[in-house]
Amino acid sequence: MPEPTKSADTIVIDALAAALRERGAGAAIRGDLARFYAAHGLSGAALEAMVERGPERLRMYRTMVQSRLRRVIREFLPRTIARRGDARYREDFALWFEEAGSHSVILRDVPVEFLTWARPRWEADPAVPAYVLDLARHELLSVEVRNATGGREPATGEPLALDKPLLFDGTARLARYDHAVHRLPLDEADLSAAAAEPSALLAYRDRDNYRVRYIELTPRASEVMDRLIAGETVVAALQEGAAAAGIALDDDLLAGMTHLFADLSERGVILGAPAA
Amino acid sequence: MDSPPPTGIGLGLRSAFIDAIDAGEADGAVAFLEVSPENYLWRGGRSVDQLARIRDRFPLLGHGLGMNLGGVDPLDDRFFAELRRFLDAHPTPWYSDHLCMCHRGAEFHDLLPVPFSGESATRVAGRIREAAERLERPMLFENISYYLALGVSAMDEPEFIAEVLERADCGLLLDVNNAFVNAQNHGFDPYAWLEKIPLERVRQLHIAGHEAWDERTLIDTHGADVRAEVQAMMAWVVERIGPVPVLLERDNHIPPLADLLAEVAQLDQIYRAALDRFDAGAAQTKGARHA
Repeated sequence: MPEPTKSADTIVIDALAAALRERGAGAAIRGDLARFYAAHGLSGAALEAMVERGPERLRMYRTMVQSRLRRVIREFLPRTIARRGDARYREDFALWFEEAGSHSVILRDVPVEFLTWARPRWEADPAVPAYVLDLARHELLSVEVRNATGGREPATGEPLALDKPLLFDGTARLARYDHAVHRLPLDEADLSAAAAEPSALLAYRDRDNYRVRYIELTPRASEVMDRLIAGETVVAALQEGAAAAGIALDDDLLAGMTHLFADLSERGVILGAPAA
Repeated sequence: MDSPPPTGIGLGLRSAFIDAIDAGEADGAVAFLEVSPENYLWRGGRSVDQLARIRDRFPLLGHGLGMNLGGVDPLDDRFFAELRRFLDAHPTPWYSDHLCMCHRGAEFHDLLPVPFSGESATRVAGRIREAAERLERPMLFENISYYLALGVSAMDEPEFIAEVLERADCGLLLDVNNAFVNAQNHGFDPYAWLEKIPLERVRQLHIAGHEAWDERTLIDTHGADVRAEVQAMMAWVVERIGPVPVLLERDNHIPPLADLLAEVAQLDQIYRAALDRFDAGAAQTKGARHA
C-alpha cells in the first residue's frame, strides 16, 4: 500500500523527530542544515523558514532530550553504567535511541526499555563481562520492588497448610543471578567484578519503612519459593522444589523451610494461607 | 470535580519535598498542590501512600506531561485509561497538559514545539476535545517555552493559542514564565503577547524561574527563584482576570521546603495586591454603570 501523503505539519514534526533521534543528525545539522531538512522532506517556504532559523536551537533540543534520557538511565543503573564506561554508554544510548527509543509515557520505564534493548547485544558482546547484565537486572529489581503496586496486604489469619498455597506481599519478587552481584559494593567508583556464583534473592518492600529488603536463599529454598510464589500448594512446592534441587524431601529440608516461612511471616512477606 | 477550584498560590508536588508536605510542614501555607499523575501511574509504595494522605489535606489540581496534545500519533489508549482511574481517585476540577508534541514514533519525554498553523490548530483542538471526553472532565492546555518555531508560521503564538482555545472550547493554563522566556528568546514584548491572549479563557496560571542556556537563550528549567519581571506579569494578569489558582513550579536546584514556602508567601503578597486592584477596578466599573 503506498504511504499516504504527509501533511506539511507532519513533515516538519518528523524532521524534528529525526534531528532528535538519528545518530548522524548532530553532525548533519551542523554541516549542512538545508540538506538535512531537505533529506527529511522539507521544501519550499517551509525549508527556507527552517534554514533561516539556524541549527543552534535544533541542536539544543537534541542535546536536551538526549541528555535527560541518558541521565535517567544512569540514575537507575548507576553501577552498571559506571562499568560500561562513558564512551560506550553514549554509543549504546545513541544506538538504542535511534533503533528503539522509549515507548512508555512514564519516565521511570526508560531504564527498563533501555536494558531490554541492550540485553541481547551485551550478551553477544564478549567485551561485556557476563556479571554486568546480572548487575543491571539487580539494580532494576530494586526499582521494581520500590515502585511495585500492591504491598502491605493484611495477613489472612489462616495458618500454613500443606494442601494450600501461600499468599505473599504484593511486592515480593524472586530473582536469580549467575553472579553474586548483590554483594558488590554500592560505591559507584568501585568497579570490582562479581563472583561467578549462582544466587537467588527474595526481594520485598518493607511494610514499615518502604525500604527494599533482600533475603539470600539457598538453592533448595529458591526452588521451593519459586513454586510457592507461582501459586503452587505447599506440598507440591516442597516436592517439586526438592526434586528440582536434586535433594531429598527430608527433615532437614522441612526444618529449613519451616524456619524460612516463620521468618517471612514475621516480616509480613508471607500473609498466610488463603482465607477459606 | 465536585469541589470548586482553589484560588491563590499553590505549589507543584515533587518527590524532593513530599516527605515534608506529608509531615504537615506546608499545612496552611499553600492554597493547593498540583500533581503530575505520570509520577504515580502504575506505581505503589511510599509516594503513592503519601499522596493518598496528602489529598485529604489540600485541594489538588492535575497537570500532566505525556498527553502529546500537539502530536500526530494517536492518543495512547493505555495511558488514558490509567490516567482516568487516577483522576477518579484524585478528583480535580479540570485536567491540564501542554500545547506540545512529546511523541512521534517514540517518546521524547520533553515538551517539543508544534507548528503555528491552521492544520495544527485544528488537529490539536480535536485532540483536546477527545482528551476531555475520555477523561470526562474539562481540559486546559498550557503554553510552552518553545525554542524553535516549526515550519511556516501562518500565525503568531497568541493567535495560534486563541485559535486552539476557540476550536477546542477549553480553558488556558497560562504560564507567564514561558511567555517571558519566549519573549526573550524570540524578541517580542511579553505584554504585547499577553494583550493578544483571550484572558477570559484563563483558568490557572503557572509561574517559575528560568536559567540561561547561553548568552542568547533562556531555558524554562524551573530551576531558580521567580524573577521580578515574571512576578509582575503574573500580577498584570491577575489584576485583569481576578482570583485564579497560581502554581509555583520548581523542578531543579530545589531548595528546602521552608525556602519554597517563603517564595509562596512573597508571591501571595503580590497576588493579593493584584486582586485588590482587580476588585477596585470591578467596583469602579460597577459604580460607573450605576452612575
